[in-house]
Amino acid sequence: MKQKINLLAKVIICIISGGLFYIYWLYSISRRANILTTSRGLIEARKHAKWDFILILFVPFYGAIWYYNTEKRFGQILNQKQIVKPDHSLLYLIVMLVFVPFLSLFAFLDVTIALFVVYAVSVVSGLITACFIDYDMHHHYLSILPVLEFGIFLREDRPAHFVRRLTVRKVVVGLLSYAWLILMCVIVLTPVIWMVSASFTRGTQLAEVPIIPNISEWTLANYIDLFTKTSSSEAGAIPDYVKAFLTTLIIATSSMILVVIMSSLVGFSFSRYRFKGKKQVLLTMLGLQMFPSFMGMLALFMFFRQFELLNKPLALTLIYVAGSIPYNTFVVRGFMRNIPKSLDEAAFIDGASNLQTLIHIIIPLAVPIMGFIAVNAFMGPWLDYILPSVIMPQRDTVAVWLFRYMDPLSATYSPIKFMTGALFLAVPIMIVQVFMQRYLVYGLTSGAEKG
Amino acid sequence: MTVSVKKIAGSVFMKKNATKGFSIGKVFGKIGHFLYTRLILGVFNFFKNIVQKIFDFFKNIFAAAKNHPKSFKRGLGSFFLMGFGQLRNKQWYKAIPIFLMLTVFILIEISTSSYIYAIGEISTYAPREGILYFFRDYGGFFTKGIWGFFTLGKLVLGDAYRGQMIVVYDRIMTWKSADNSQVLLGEGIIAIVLILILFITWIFSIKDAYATHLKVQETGKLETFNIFIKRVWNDYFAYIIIIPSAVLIFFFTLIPFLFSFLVAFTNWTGRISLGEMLFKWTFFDTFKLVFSSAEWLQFFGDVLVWTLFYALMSSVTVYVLGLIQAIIIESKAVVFKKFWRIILILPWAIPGMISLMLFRNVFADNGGLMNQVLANLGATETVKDFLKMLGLVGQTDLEAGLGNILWLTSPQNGGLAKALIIIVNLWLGYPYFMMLITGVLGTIPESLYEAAQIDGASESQKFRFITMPMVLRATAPVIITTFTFNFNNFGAIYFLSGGGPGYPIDQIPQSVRVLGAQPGQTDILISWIYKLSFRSSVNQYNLASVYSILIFIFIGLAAIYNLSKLKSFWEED
Repeated sequence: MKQKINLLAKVIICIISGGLFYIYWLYSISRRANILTTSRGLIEARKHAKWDFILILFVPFYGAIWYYNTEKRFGQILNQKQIVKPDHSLLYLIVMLVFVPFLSLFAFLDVTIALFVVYAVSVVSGLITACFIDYDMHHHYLSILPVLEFGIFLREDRPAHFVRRLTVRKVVVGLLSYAWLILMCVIVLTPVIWMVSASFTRGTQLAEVPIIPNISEWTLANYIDLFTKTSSSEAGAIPDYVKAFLTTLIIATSSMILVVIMSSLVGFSFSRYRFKGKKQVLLTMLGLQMFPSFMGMLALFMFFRQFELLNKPLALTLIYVAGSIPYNTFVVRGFMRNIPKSLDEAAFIDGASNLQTLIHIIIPLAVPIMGFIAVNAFMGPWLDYILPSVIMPQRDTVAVWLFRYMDPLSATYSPIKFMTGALFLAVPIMIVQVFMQRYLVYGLTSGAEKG
Repeated sequence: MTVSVKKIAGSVFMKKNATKGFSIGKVFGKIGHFLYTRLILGVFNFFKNIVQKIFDFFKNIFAAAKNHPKSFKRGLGSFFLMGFGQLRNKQWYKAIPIFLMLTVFILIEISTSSYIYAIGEISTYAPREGILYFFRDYGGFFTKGIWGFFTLGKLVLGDAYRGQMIVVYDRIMTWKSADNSQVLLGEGIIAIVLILILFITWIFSIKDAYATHLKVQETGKLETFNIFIKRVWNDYFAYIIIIPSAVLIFFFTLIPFLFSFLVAFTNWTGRISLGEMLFKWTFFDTFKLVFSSAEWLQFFGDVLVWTLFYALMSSVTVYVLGLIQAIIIESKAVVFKKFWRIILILPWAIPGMISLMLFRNVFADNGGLMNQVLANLGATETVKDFLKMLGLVGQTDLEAGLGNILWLTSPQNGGLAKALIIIVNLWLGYPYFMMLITGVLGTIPESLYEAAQIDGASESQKFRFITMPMVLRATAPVIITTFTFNFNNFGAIYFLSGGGPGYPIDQIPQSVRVLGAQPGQTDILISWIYKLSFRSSVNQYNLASVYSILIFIFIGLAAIYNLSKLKSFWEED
């Protein structure tokens, strides 16, 4: 009897925390949906919303805080249509504080069951919410929660494009499509899940990783290793992985800044001016961008050895910058050619100098493409192996660190360690890529379109 | 004249093929026409223009001396001393930087040289040993650089020279230390390039001194410092903002590439170690080896064919799968589009190197996911037989008898490794095209489909005549870019298979095996080049360099052809 009550209590806590989890989830998203649908005409607010989207989704309270700030600035427009009234924010704050018990569940209940219940509850809550939601206002962003879309699909008064006549042909095509999509998802997800599972597995050999992940036997040992193990014998030395991470961070940040400044200058020059030798320079750049930088590595190695720049991040930064300017120049040039020249002419008539035109007129309009370049330049160094392994033989970057664990001939061979380090590195990159995909793909194509 | 030649040649090419009527003939005719107009005529015109320009140059000089002797004198001033003509023109703001540049060059030369010792030493040694290499012993950065560039060093460790033994490195007496060909070549390139820059400045200063004086005489006004600065800032803004990038590219991309290029004409291999041996200019010897030896040709042929096949297949398969995915997700039958899209985009979001190495683990011999799954299902033998039937797994695959399938490591399973590389590349690459094509599908106006509906078109007809042409037109340039990208896609090979499996030992000719320079079965050109130059037991720098030049020619041709189609590249707005 007592056991039963105990179990019941646990399940009730599960259900409550699942519900809270769901409400919080919906809350952050509805905040964003609200802003975007009510301030359609206001470019400023939308621009902010773009960058805050990820934060709203993943940082507790960020939605509420951000909403207040934005409301202060663009109040009159935001107040037109609102689903969640701003004065409810305090309530949500309290809800989030109660949300903490959900995490404590891990301590006294089987994690697998807890997670299952929590997610089941949030799915059911989603279905219930879907019955009452104002579809037209939200449909664009609600598909972030597939549950809601499904709930709307079940409704009698579902929007017109949900209603269609079913024929045998359509059913067959639909079933085949879903079968194909599910198959593809399995193919895509299997290695990824295996990787996640490996990173939580005890041991060093691949054979020890089970095919079907067994959550109850997962351990954080690999991650703890990752952040504590150091090869130097000094006390208080920075762990190897963290050191490699910081080195790469320095290189990535500095090369990002340099690449953005330099390639937007060069792109501006090539898109706006005619000058002697322009075509020759463009052709040279086109040739250069097709070859990996390591083809000149022999000379670079000697050069840096001569000037004692080996093992210095600066050396690597300079190579990355020089290597990525040609490609980025084409991208920026393609984008800037689409900015009408009449803007420049107007600025010229108003007495602006070349530099002023660039800073006050072109740069603000070219922010999207510069963002694209910045993301690319920042990502590049993280996973380049060849150059750092030669130019910085005694100082690891993350990629070199990772590769060391993948070399079967080396003493440190340990694929599971590789998986842990790689996963820790890949997750933030994945999140950024998935949520910024529209801009990244746009950038990729805008350069190609115009040659 | 050239125009008529071009016309005739073009018509000859076209006519020949028009009579044949074969489509392949037409294609070759077009390529021939292209090669002729773009390359042969291009090279011809290039040299013709150079000769013409040199001729014009001297003609102009004589004309200037005759018509404007006073201005010509100013130019002559700068000819003898850089910046002197500017000073006579009373343009100190031009004279000082130009003169300063010359001074810096001379200072570098003198400070790195030891000419001051020359007189004493010559009188001491000359009677006995003779001064063998003056620039080597006393020259500064520039003179020694040029000497080094042309000779690539003369003296190695242990040589007797002027009564002393040559040592590895002697800070005090440079002539006592052994020559190092790579350093000499590198410094030589930098010295020559810097001298070229000085030369260009010199020509510029002469022209400027002449032109300024001429202008002052005509207008009677001398440009003041402020106006000069303003004019430069406004008129040369396009140049000024690209200077920092140009300098970076110059030193960190162009000069290293130039170095690699020149290595092809030497006999530098890893065997020539520091100080003990020197390498020499052998000009086209390495090319001769590559193109006359059947063994090397065969390897090169194998690698080239596989590179082309890989580049082609990896672009086409990726495109097709991306298209299928995009169409299925965007079709009306599918709901939760965003959900599917986010999952199917994952391979694109995971950094390439990580997913490639992940697949290296998935296809690992022991404990890899694939082998584990097959073993658990008890399907290993069935799959092996199936692969054997396809011809991907060799008949004499002895190791495979042990149980696991050796996906990427057995010399008998070259075909399997190649197939896997293309499949993994497909996994990695399709999301990009999926996103691209999804974007294009969104831009096709709905009214087109409605019109087709009214005309009674079926779904497949709509796809064939509306969707496909629109998608193809928008994405065709990207396919070509993907092809050239994959041609040099070093990571896809190196991180997944490392170029392996190697060829069976009996298939590798002795002359290649001695050097250890054989490619793996899945090596593409660029990864073979990497192995040739950076694998510590191989280090065939000159061979690697020759193959890079071949890649350069190949890709350069493809790029120029691609560009000649893109009008927007050439037209100015």
